[in-house]
Amino acid sequence: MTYWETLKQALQTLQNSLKTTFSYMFGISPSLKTITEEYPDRLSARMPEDLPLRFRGFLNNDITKCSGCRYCSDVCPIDCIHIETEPGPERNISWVAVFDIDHSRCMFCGLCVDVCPTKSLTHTRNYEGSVFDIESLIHSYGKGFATKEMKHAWAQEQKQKEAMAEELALLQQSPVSAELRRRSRSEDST
Amino acid sequence: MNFELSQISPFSAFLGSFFSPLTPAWLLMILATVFFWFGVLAPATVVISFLDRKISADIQRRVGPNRTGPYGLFQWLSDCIKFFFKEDLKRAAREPVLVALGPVIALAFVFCSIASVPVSRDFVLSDVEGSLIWIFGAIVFSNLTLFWTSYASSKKGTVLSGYRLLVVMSSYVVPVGVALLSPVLVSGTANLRAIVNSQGGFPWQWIFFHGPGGVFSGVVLFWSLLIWQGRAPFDVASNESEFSAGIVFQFSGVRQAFLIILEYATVFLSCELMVALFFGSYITPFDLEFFGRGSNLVEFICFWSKVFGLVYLVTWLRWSLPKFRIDQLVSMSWKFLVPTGVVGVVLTAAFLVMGRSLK
Repeated sequence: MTYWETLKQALQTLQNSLKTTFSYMFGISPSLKTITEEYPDRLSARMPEDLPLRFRGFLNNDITKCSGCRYCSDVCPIDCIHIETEPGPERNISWVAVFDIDHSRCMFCGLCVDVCPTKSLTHTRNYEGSVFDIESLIHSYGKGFATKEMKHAWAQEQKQKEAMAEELALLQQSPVSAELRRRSRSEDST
Repeated sequence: MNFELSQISPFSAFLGSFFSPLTPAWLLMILATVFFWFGVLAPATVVISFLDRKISADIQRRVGPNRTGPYGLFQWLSDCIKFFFKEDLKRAAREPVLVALGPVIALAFVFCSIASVPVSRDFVLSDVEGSLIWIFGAIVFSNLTLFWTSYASSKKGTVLSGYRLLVVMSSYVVPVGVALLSPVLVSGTANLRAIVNSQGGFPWQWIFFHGPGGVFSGVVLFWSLLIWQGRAPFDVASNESEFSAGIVFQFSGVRQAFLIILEYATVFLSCELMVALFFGSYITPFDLEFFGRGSNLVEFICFWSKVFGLVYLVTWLRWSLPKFRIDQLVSMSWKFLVPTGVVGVVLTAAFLVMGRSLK
């Protein structure tokens, strides 16, 4: 390139560069305004309602539904779920004594929620977890080690719940067969 | 030889007018230095560091510092305190004295040059007879001192960075010298205060618009001073991506702060020089008889608004242009800046011969 072509190209580069950055200054173009969100002072855009539908926040375990199957702690890549159980009335339902999720190690991958068979372990939409000491981030959902009476009462409760669930399922399938079954059960008991 | 204090240091004479006429001159000069330091130098460095961060953030769609004080105005204070608490690492150097002295001497040269630049009609700390020549020498020497520092280091990368600094120096010295000729020709003196006083308040009375020669010389001086500052896009010698191979990395704590202050002081000196030589630094278009002594303040505001405009341009350029390779830098300097500077001087001389004057 000749000297003058080089000069012209240099000046054109300069002009293009300055024009590009100029549109970023003063927020001239509305699509190029400052995008920094000054959390938590000014929640400019993100409210909890703005979160995506399947947002994976802190975990919550509904212990009344949890069966203590340990699928979640087995699949966890970081081993942040600690479970201790005692035997329950049936083989597939245990008394969950200790259920600790260490949220300081959790990476919120969602694998534990995916494998939970009873759907007791779910994600909440809570993401604000700043605490002053790291031990507070271990969330415990366990029922604690139980006395015999507590376990017996819980076993009864489970049986009742199961019966009701069966009844409801049958009712939804066919009211006639539900009525027949109820009559045969009442005949058995008498 | 007897000197009038107002000949050497108009600022000291200005201060002396507030005290009794029997105060010794050395005391007045010490006072003047202290006032100038805390009133002009330190605030200028601080303000430019703040402006640099905020303008850069604005261009990058960020907010910049906004926690320390309202709008982040006290960020410089927390930075200062932080540097005092950092450990002063003494990395092994072949010449420890040179390495330690380097930043201090470079800073001293730049600060003494800033003291020679007039900020308003009485606020010149040291009005040397040929102040432009002194400032030109100080500009060169400050980089030379940094070269000693990196040459005396024990890290290979730093030594090479020092040599790159020498190459950069070779590419800005001649264009600066050539471009400085234009204002000297137009005003007939090398004294910076007299050059400023020879310009007027209106744009057509500035040296920048004194024919096409002013524009050429002004652009060449601005560009060459940008190369001297060593900021992007000319940060060949020492830049952010090769920080551990640069000059600033040898130091920590207050010595590192010296070099950071040096960067902002060079920005300030460059913009001051541009404004004083080409844009009629503090001369206002309107008459200032009304203000009396307060005319200094009005002129100071005029000076600062022009410097602020140039600082904005310097920061804007930093984020707009891709970095120059060292061979591109040298070829740009010798193939474009030097010829353009010479053309500017020739045109200025032609305009002077044609009998054009400024006011």
